[in-house]
Amino acid sequence: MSVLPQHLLNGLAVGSLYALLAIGLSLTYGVLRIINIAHGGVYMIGGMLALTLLAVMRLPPLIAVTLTILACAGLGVVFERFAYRPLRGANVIVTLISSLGLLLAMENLARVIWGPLPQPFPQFLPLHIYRAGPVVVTNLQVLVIALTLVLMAGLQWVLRKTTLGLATLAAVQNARGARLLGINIDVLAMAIFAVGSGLAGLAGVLEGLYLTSVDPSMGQMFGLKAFAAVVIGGMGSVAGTFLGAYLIGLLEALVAAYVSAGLRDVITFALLVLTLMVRPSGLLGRRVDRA
Amino acid sequence: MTALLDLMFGPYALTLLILVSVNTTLAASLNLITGYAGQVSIGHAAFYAIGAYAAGLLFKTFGWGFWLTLPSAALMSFAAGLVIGAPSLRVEHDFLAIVTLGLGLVVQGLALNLEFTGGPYGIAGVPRISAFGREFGLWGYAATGVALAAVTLLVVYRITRARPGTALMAVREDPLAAEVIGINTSRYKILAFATGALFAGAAGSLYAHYATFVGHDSFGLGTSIAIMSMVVVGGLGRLWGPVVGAVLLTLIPELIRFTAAYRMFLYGLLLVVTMRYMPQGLLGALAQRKPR
Amino acid sequence: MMPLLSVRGVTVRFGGLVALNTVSLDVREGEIHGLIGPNGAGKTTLFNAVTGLVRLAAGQVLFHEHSLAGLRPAAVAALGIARTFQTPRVFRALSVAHNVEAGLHTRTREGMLDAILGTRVSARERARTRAVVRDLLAFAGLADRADAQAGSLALADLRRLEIARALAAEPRLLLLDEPASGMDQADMREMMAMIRRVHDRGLTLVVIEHNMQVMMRLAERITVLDHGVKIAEGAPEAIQRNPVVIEAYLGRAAPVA
Repeated sequence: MSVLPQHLLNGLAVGSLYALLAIGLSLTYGVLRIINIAHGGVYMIGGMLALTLLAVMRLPPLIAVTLTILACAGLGVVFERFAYRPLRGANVIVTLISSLGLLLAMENLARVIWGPLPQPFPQFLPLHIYRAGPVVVTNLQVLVIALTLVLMAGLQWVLRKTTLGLATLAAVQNARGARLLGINIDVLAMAIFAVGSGLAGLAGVLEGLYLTSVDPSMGQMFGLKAFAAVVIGGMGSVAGTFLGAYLIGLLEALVAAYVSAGLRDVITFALLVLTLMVRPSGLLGRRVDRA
Repeated sequence: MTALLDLMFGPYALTLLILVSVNTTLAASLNLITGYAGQVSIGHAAFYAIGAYAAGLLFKTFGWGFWLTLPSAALMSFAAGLVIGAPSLRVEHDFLAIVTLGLGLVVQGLALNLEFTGGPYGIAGVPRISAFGREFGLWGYAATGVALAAVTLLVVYRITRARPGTALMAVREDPLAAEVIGINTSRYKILAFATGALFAGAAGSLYAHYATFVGHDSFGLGTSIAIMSMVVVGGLGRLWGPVVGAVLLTLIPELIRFTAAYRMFLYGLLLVVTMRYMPQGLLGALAQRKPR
Repeated sequence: MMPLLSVRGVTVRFGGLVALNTVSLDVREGEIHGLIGPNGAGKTTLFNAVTGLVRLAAGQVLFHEHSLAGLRPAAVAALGIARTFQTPRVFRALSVAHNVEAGLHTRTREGMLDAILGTRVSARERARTRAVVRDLLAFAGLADRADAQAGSLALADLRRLEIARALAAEPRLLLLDEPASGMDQADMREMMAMIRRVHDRGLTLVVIEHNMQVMMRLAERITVLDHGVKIAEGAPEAIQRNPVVIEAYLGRAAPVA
């Protein structure tokens, strides 16, 4: 029988996946004002690519995962350079449609290559189960949550202590001001997409491990929820993005367990709408200046 | 005579025509909201859904046919537009895009999960349109679709060349200035949403009686963005834009059927390329060519 | 005689900043009333307060004895108050004529249903609109550019267009925000002539201007603001010699004489 702490744990694990995905979205939106629906597609490609590298090419897990992350980072950079950069400054509708085009292209290419059905993901981590009272904890859950927290801490460090990181924070606060200070937006954009997409790829791999299967449609909804996390947590705040991601993860776990599994999706998007109506800057967001 | 026409306009062509006219109606209705009134709305499928589900549910509950569900669905969507348009009074642009995106997903989620909408199974057995005791065939549907699209375009035309249209465009161009010259921007934003919703709802009821089935699948974010794409590709804020966009984006996937599995992949790329080189839409690009 | 516009103890706050502090002034019907003060004095804020664009923290504004409290800007406009902006806010993508037509919104009555059904109201209003727009374009000297895109106009023409659009609503009070700024001598003379012609049509004007030359020639009475407070009020000559006023300006850039 499932207990509250069990649900919370599951919520944290899924929340971690949302967080990894949401970071890219948060930075992209914060600095470049791009609502990157295609991001979910990169996440999906990460999962599918890792599947091939592990199951078909039988590469050692560490190499497969590294290659996946790098490939996804590269994909993000390509998208930025060829799809988004030319549209910089264009209105939100145009970038949205372009973004959707990318997502459609990725999803359907994936369907061609891997087929439309979910495929079992190689569970290259031997499963260990621990018990903490009535709660069942798997090493996988621990891995996902811990890895995310470590990465996020690392990201915060990079943002606060490196030049590029500070430039990013500055640009999130005030993009025009950042430009005036001589910050090279092109380099920044590339870096943001590389890091965000790399993390998305990693999230895809973790999803495969945690939820045991991957399929070409897994990106769309997940990407949208990650975006909801960004908005709820507060645009322009990396810490807010985490908060939003874990909040959604937990909320969904609770709603699925105690109310109805189906309303799980509705609750997230309803919360998104509510946030924008009541407190557009989100939980931790500050007023972000328009570029 | 009909035989000859059937040769030229066989079932396949008629089916496409039905699709194009439904899409034109959807795109034209969205054009009023986003193109003329400047309110970004990427949840337009919600109105389409509400219209379709209204038709399905009215049939299930009262046994109504198309001629009764059409005006009812339109009115219900109109009411929905009043509600869903409300956020536009508080947020603009990016934020409005996200809110409407969220609302669209909420509506779809509700359709999927509520019992009375049939849940994941939707509503089946919606009757075909019939008049004078005879069920419509493809010709009937095509005629109805074209009529609906024509009415929608006519209404948009009449609105936009007159005082209300001027008010909408003023709201689009500069809401503050519009307000200062006496235009109640709140009223016009809501009116734009509600009127656009009305026609999308009408399209929804037509769809319900055509497909004879209403399922949550057809009303997701992809649909909303597809509709928006048609408006943009044709040219935002241009009267014939929705027609051009609907024709192009409905026919092109059909024309490239020969590419089989890669069809939607290419379609996706097409969207990216079009936004890159022609963000003002086809009619917008053509207008720019004309010497001033 | 009742003032047309009565600002009484108006205070406006933006966060911690007090933009207007218990400001009171009266504008008599038919006068050209000047509003001057160093940059940041609160002049435009006063316009915003009158037209309902900012909330009053205290005080009230009466137009024709009618309180404007809580009215949205569109309602204030409908009552007969029009304004222009320092940087003209015209509808750039629309044509010059269409801009003026937009200004007619409060004086025409064609609703959504009228437009859709093509009722007789529609046809009548449309004809009247065309005539009024034609007249106003002629008044503003823009008749030859009726179909040009508003965004393509030069600054002086943009200002004239904004005034023409404002006049379309048949206002009784027109608030002009720095109508002469950024203009050369020739344009300035034309603008002053236009302002006088607007005045001749029977409107009451309140004009914000930094250019003292313009202000002295146009205004009958002048109110001076500094740091959100009224520091002087009176005839132009008196204001020009008022030591408090001079002091306020010497602290910043001297007024353009």
